[in-house]
Amino acid sequence: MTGSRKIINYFLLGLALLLGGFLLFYKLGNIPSGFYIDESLPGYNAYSILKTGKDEYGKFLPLLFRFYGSYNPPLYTYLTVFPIAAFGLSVFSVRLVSALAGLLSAIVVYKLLAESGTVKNKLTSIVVTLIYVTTPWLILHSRVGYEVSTAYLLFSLGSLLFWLGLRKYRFLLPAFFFLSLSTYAAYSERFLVPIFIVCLLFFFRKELFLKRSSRYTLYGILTFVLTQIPHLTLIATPAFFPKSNLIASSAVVSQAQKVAQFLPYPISLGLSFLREFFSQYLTYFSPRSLFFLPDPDPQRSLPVLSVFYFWLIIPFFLGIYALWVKRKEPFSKFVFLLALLSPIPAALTKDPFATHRAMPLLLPLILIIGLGVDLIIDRIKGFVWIPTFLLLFLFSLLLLWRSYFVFLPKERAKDWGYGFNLLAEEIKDRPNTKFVIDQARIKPAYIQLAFFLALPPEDFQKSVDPAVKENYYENTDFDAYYAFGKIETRNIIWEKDSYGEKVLVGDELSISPEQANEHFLTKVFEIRDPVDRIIFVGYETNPAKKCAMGNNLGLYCRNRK
Amino acid sequence: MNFPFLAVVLLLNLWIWRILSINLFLGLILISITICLSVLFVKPNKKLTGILAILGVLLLILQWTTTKSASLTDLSNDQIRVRDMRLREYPPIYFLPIAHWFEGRRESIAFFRLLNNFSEAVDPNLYFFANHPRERVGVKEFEKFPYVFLPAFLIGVLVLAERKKKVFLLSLLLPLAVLTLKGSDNPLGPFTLFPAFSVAIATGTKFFYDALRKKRVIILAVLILILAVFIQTLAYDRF
Repeated sequence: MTGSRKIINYFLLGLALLLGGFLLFYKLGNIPSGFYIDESLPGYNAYSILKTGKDEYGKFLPLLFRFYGSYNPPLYTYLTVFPIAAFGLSVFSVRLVSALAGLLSAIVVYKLLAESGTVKNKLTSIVVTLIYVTTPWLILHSRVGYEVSTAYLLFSLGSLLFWLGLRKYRFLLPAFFFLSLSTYAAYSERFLVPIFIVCLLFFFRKELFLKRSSRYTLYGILTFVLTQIPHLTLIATPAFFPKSNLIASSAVVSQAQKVAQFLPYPISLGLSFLREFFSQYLTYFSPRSLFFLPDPDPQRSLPVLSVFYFWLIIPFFLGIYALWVKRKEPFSKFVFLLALLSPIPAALTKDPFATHRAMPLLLPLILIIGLGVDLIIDRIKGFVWIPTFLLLFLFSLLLLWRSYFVFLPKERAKDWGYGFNLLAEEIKDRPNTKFVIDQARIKPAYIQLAFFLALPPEDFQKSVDPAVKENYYENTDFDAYYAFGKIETRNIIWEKDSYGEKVLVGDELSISPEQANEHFLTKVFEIRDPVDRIIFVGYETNPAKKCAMGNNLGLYCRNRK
Repeated sequence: MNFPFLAVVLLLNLWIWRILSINLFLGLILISITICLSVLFVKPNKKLTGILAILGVLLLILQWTTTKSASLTDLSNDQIRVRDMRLREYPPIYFLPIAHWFEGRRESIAFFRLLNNFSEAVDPNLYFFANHPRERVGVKEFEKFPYVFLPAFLIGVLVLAERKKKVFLLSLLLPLAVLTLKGSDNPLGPFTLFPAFSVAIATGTKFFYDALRKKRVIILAVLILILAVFIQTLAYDRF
């Protein structure tokens, strides 16, 4: 590439990154318009680490964060300490690392395509980077305060360095290091990376075990093993496999019972597992899932927009064709391997098309689309493709704006934990009032409240059962009961709560109008989402009236006297 | 020659048996087209191409006429509610009526419905897993090909595409066009795609057979697996 061409290329790459930066950072603290529990957990724990060096349970620098029994990989929480130290405890601070990781991954995609040795047109890498930074999959999962995009960046970086390492062996050591590091960032990578590394060593054995390269390969493997020691120390604890219940075992058993009428049960079970696994696995490559339907989980999808734009189905098919035609080339082998292995951890769970778990798949899919784009640019004479691409690109930006910036903040506010900041304000406004937050229908609320009330971590740690800290990696059972300050999070106990002076908080179904009448409750606030659905309702109790009407017979009434 | 493989595919799929049991004429047309298509790949023949074209058009007409029509623009009460809600969600942009373009215009409603129809027709889970795990609401799904044929299908499509078989591409694209326009609400499924799928599976099976020809134990194991999966598919269909 000549000097001026290089400058133009970097200029265009800079423009693509600028656009990506805008899409990733614009109103980062406000959209998604809520603060999901999976965001507040690393957020508050990072704050706790910053202030005390301990997590919410008082555990000093844990290797896995217990959170609410999920034992999350720790990297994201530790990285979030820095933005919280710099910008304070805010939604923006918690989402910052993730957004930054999403942006940096664009450079990895650009570099991988540019160094693939397969792409013919110089502009392909830029065009694909431009598509990539506007991809709904990337935007949605990078603008959140949890780990998936950070793990994805590390996995992509490791993959890029491995690819470069096949020619310049000194890259192999950092490749294995970053791949290993990604296992400390998210579950999917924890299970994917060991399989990926074994397959890489097998399929690229000719390149990796040459006289000149084997030394670097062995150093790389050694690096991987050494950096996995913290994991190895925990492998026998229940904390290492806390999500085993996500594996689709009940579906497999119920399918096996049907087949058992014809075949022996063990065979039926095996066949049912195969069917369940491959049906889930295939969904991750289905054009319907990739280009037309959103992820079925409303919290992890955009309204009416899939993970890629619909028109990308054409370069996707052409890219697969290009890979097949060049199947003996190392880059094709590399992309095939990435694509076939990446969805395995996600396909083992029962959720269909769980895009957050299948995040590593974004890398091979964008590379496949890139190869398709390259084929189109190569086949179309002249620059006719440029206006066509620009038109489709602008239309895609409109679709993204509509789904992400217009619909999502309103329609999905409730799914994103909207309203906890407003509830915290209500609590702050009543410094002397006791609050009971009903947990019968609401996801554990303690951590969002701790976050928005900015509770001092030292105080919060004291409110937690000390037995948890003693047995940190063994004690997986989570109890949603918390009592801190004037707040209790638990189910409402009517026979007790209506006789004490407090505010009972629930969602629109927690407290019925009949219950409010029966217990003489007065509605003191109501928090609604942007499309006017009730999120929280607060009722003040009236124990004096309750006792008066109940002939003062109850224990609590006697205590009042 | 793909014929022994084609015979296995034709025998071991529930889709053709279901079609034959409901509409013998349609089943025979499908089998004829599948065989014609397969012969054409081995030996191009003008007469056969003509017969294939006539049968193909007949098949497309049958798909069109037996598929329940769904309006591309009519909205149910709930869809009207969602549309009105969404129209209110847009920020006021006075110089461009974007909200109306996306949500209100009949053209855009039709466009998104066509995309949906197309997406249903190109979903491989529809053909190999009765659309599991993303079943459609209000549609009785059924397994069309045993899932063990899936790798063969994928490889078969790529092999045929690499050989630049235009007839094969047409046998995929024309039915897709019909299904996109008409939808796939048909008790027999998108059967116009049956011939292309069968030929692709047979081609892929032959590709694997050629690669494993000398490894008889593996071939035997795969045959047993195919039979077991066929029984599994039968069991799901029955219960």
